[in-house]
Amino acid sequence: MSSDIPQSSPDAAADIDAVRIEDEMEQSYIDYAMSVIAGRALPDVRDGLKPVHRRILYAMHEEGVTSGSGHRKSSSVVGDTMGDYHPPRCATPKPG
Amino acid sequence: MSHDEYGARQIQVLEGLQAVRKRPAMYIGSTDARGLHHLVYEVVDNAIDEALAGHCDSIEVTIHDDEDPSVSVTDDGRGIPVDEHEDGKSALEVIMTVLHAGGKFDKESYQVSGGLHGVGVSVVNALSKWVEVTVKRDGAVWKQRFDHGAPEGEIERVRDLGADEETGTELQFWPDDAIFSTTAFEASTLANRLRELAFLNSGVEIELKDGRDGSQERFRYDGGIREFVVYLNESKSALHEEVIYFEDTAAVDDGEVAVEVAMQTTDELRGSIHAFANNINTHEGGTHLTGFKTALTRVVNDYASENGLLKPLDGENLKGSDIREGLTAVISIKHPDPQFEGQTKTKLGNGEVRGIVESAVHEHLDTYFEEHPDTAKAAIGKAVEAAKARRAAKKAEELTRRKSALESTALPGKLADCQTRDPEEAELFIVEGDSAGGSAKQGRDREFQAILPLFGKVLNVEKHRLDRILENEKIRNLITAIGAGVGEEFDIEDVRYQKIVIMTDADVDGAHIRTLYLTLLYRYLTPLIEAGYVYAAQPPLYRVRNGGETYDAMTEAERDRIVEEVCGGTPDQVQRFKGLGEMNPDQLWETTMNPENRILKQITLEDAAAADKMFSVLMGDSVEPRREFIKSHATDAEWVDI
Repeated sequence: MSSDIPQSSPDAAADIDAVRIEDEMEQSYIDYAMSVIAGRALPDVRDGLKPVHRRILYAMHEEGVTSGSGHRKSSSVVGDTMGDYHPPRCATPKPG
Repeated sequence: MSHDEYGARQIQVLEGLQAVRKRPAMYIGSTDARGLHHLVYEVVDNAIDEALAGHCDSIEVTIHDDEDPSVSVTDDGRGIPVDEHEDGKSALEVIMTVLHAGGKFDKESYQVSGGLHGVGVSVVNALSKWVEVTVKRDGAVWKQRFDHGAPEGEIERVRDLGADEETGTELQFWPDDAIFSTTAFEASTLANRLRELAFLNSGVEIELKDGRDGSQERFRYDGGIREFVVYLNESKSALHEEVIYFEDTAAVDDGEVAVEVAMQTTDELRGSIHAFANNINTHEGGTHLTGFKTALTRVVNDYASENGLLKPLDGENLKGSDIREGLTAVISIKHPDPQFEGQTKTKLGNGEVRGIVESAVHEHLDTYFEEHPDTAKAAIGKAVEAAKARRAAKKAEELTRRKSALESTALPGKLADCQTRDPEEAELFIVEGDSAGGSAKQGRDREFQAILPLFGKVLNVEKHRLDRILENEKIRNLITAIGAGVGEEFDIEDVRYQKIVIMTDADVDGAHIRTLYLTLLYRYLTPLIEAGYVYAAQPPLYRVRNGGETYDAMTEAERDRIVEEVCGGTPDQVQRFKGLGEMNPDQLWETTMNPENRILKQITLEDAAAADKMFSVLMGDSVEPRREFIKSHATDAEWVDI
């Protein structure tokens, strides 16, 4: 019966961790899903803004784009936002 | 009984079990978490054997909350024999200390037995610090303890068995942390396998208790594999309500083969057929699966042409793959003498089984279709749709093939290939972005490391048919780079790299991209995962600098440890690597790509049914099961990036 046992490769080095595919999927997916829910998809209860809206408004504020200012193409606002505040993790430098 | 006699006996025992302790991987596959859980399955398999023989209907598995992790398995079977067997040893002692001893006694008392891990419970004993067996049998309660495989004294009669007490066995073992890299039992891993066993052995109740958090789960399915199919289809929409089910038996030389089939068609674009032999998930297939597929194709085509259902195809017959699209099926056979073959010994080799399954399916499915014409029409209607889509796709493919006859054979332009042509040495890194791709190309060892940068998120293949998937350029690039085809035409012999490393950024989007690639590889290049060729790179998350020295940390905990212990709490700088592109080529090579230093995660496939279910919940069309999954697993998130 010993021939019925699955053989692990003999040279499996110590630098390889085996992980079952469903466990890897579960962990990676839940990390992603919870981050998206908490960090991107939910509007803030105080003002109804999602983080992406807030970044755009902040970029406009920094550039002085207000109701009274001159005409600006939306593309340039998009450019400013993406240049300075995207991806989201770069928006606020976190200590350590 | 004097101690000297025991000394002599211990030496003899250790000679036998020493081989197991020396090469544990030969007996249980590995000494990581997977091997650890195999120990539990080995003990549970014994209880299931009692159930198959009709003597046991309740099994309890408990993870104990002790400093030294241990698991106990209790059944209400006949109890391991305790009477004297040979040289004054009890049968129990022989079973626990002699490899493959179980079979010696039990050829007559067990018709069928769980084959794959059938090395016997002695292996569990050999790899445990202690084992404690309590047997209720022959009017008494008996107990024996083992220390690193050797018996600690004779079997002991504890007390008389009460008049209303049932017979049974309880085995508790403490895995040896000198052998296993981890001794932490995962309740969810055990639950998956125990649930599967409960499906495959209808009527047997299996309970899993986790003493660490007080949780418990009960698995009992009187509907057997019918309920298994319902469970697998939970996140899919079925096209006919009732699960098709039939069973049959056939005589063979040394006993009887039992065949059970349950199936249901769904509106999914993929089918999933799970074949089991003696409770072993034979994911490499084998004769039972071949027999099933052959008969299925013939029965469906016969019925369809008799009832004029093939008109939309101008009378052309359905192909097997058309019929299996969206079909969820479980085939379970129980054989007195199963032969397992294949790379991982999970392919059934018994030649006679093919004919047995074929004629069982032919006879019963035919009858079933005649008696349930609505079910037959729903299932066949789906197959006809699939055939139409296949024919349309083929036309489209022929068109594109003619158009790009030259390009299709060439390797993708973005691929920076390695110099070696030996697949055993060659490694392919799939990198998520162009910037990281640049670092990886500069940092790699071009002798054996190839880089394929694929920008951003890739198509979720769970939601599309193959023809649509092949229109995606990133996916086509990956498939041509690997060079072994796709889907049913995939041939593992042609792979150009035997290590395919998914190297995404160490952020949550990287995690998402990893799930997308795994879905593609699992659904359309499955043999890669079965062969263990797929890996995930593990780039460090943090770099700590202090006084001219740099330290890399894979986790937040490690970073804190380095900051506290090595830098005395005041490091000069702590850097968070946000993307691979932020590392310079040397850093990337040193931490993540250099075989001397790197730590790779090898993606393994053990439980195809559990994996199939996980992919359809996480990546499939249906939203509700996914919402439920996220709700119930929200607290498992290891790191949430806000």
